[in-house]
Amino acid sequence: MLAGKGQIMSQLVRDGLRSRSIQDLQDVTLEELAGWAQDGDSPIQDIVRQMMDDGHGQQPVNETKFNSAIS
Amino acid sequence: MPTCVGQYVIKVCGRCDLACDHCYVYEHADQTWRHKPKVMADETVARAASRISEHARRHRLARVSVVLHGGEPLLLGHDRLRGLLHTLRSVIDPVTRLSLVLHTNGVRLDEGFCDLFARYGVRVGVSLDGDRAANDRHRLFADGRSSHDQVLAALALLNRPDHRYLFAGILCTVDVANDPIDVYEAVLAQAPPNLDLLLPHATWDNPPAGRAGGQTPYAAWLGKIHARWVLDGRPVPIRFFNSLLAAWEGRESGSESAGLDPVDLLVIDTDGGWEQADSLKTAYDGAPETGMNVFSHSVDEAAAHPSLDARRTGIDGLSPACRACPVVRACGGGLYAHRYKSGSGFDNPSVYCDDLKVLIPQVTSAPLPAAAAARTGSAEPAQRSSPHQLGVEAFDLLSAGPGDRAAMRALAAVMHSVNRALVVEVARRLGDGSSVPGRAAADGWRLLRQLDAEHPEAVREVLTYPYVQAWAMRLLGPVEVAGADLYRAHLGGIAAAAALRAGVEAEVTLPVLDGAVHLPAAGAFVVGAGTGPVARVRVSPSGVTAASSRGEWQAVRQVSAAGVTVTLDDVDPFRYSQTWMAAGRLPDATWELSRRGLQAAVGLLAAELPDYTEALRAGLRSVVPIVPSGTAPRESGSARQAFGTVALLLPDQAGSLSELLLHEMQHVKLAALVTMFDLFDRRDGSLFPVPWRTDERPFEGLLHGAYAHLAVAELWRTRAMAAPDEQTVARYRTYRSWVEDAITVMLASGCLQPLGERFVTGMRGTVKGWDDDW
Repeated sequence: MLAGKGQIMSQLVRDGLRSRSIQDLQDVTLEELAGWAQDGDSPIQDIVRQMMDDGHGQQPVNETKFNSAIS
Repeated sequence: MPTCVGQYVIKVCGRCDLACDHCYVYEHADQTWRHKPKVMADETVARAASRISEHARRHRLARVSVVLHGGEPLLLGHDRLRGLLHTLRSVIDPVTRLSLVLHTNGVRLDEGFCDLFARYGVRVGVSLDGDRAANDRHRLFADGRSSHDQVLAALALLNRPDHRYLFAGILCTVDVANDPIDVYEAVLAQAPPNLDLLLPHATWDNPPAGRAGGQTPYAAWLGKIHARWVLDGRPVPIRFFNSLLAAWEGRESGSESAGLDPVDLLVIDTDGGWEQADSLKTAYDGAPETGMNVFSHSVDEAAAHPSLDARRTGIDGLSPACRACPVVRACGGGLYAHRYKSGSGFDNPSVYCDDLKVLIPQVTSAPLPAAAAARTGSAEPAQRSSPHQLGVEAFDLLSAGPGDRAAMRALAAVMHSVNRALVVEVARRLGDGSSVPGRAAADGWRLLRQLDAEHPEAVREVLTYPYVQAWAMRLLGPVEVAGADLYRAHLGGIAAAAALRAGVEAEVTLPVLDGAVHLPAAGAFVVGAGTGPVARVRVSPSGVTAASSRGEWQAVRQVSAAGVTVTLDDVDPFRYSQTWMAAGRLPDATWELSRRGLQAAVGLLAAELPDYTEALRAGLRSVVPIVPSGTAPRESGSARQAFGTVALLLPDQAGSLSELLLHEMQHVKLAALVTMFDLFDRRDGSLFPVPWRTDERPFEGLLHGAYAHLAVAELWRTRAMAAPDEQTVARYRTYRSWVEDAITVMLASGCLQPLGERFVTGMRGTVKGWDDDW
């Protein structure tokens, strides 16, 4: 049986509000993170995927709107 | 309010060395080219440049884009083109950042032209219609010879490692007689950084070829490519598809061909005439003309032409059939020229309407690449780290409206982790370092890693600067950035900025972006025209000096008030957003007015809402001065990809500015919270009416608007308590009712996750506390 929202919330509060996929990378050096990034399933990729999923990475598709040129 | 024009197409040559039978310039209704100069005269170029510069200065534009077009612009030859580029750079560069693009058929492209483009920072787009058979269907010399070999040679030149950053992309005109997958594969074999598939220009008077009654061959043709492209994981951005999707999702389409973006583009023909987009040449003889020219009319005057003005009215400017159509948000009525019919003019749906109605649902419902590569989710990472956490109390304080210093610090820490990951991912994708920008990027990355080990606080300060995130997101987004090598080399700028903060001596090669090299949060060196793609700077405890070229240092200036210290950044190249146009370098007098205006606004906010100001102190790093777009009486903005920044139109009245600052900071807070947690079901595509806008919004827009207006309502409540006049109370009531209505809708929507329900319930608690008010 699926838990109700109230139950889930109680559990969240009890366990602490943990981010869905943002790992704390503040104390890991960039050198070390560069090594992690070679692994396709690292916290780096989790964060990058999530940011793109959220639409954060969507950019204007072209610097010029002019139909007959591309940039 | 005058309209700002940020994009220009200059027809530098009125003739072409190919005789393509599908060319809209020579083979369609408009034949005015016959009576115009073959080549734009030097004095016309100079006048055009000064008009663009004058407009950029008057409106304080931070950037303009110029496309060199024709005919065939390479027919100018090396010397004449060099003179033209020098004129544009020397007249426009001192006033604003100039982005230059040239579009060519590729036939004459050679090493000499590439050197010229490297020297003057020109990116190059090329036309190619597919494989040899497809290309030879139309793109022929006048004597019938194929141009295919020459075009492939041009593309090979642009794909060479030392030139690749100059390559802007490929334009491919659709011909449904060609096999779509053959065309797709042939074009992708040329590894373009961007691609567009252009519907051949047609009108209701001259309908597109290949149609039989009731069929939609263009939807079928493009649909096959779209399906394959999605299956391939979208290996290259295809502008038409991305524009339709962007417009459908309520973002700017970035293209004339889709959506309802207001027109901000002007064409200058070889005779100096101001014209509308030249696709109108397909409609009737003289259709693009405005009757104005660069010698006697300013950009402001040309931009106010009634035909252009009529195309800034959004959906209201479309035909009744379009206004009632369920996909109008995506197509925006289609390319303006394609709506033409004798008698009714442009007040019609696109002649491609039936095709668009079939294609758009396919484009907008396809899974996005990241979603397709769904996270495995449950596996514990092998590396040591744990998820960010937020205390329940901090979460609840945020849901009540203001949050507090601890909550803001927690959100800032989340975004620090995000930015570290993004920067590492940018670095992971660095190329082999064979190009000049590639080497600069690799050197910058090496220095940044070294500084991170020895001076982590300095690196943290730079990596958390909002436009570092904006830079990384741009490079990692689904749209490959033309000149990405140069942008990646900005790693050197980040490293240099960190070295400066750490007091470490370093000499760094930095990319020249829009005429300057940039150190985030510190400043920019404006280098001279023709410097080339990179420049070296020397960093020491005493400051920054140019090592390889002379330059003017423009420091990022700070503003402090009521314990809030922010940069007022008018130089960072990544301070732009889809929704605002950043102002260029503010003259001293304007900056002083802006500084005082911002100080007054922050001071007022601190007096009126001290708890919200506390969050401002901990979370706001930078303010971007913007220029008015003319689309709203008051303008401001925030961006999800730049945590800690807001964009404001400065100077302004303190009362108004503090309200906008407050409003935008709510978006900043909520965007970070939404990055951290699942507050709502992201897969739910339902749209909701909102009281503060005329269009319906997705759930996230509803939540963001309600959260921003919660703070604004509290501000007006405070003001009403201090001075309960009728007007102030009415404004408070309006904002409060908007928030109440939105909360009711959200709680009944079924879109909220448990944590989201707690958040919205917290918002409701704040509003409930106002029950005894007027």
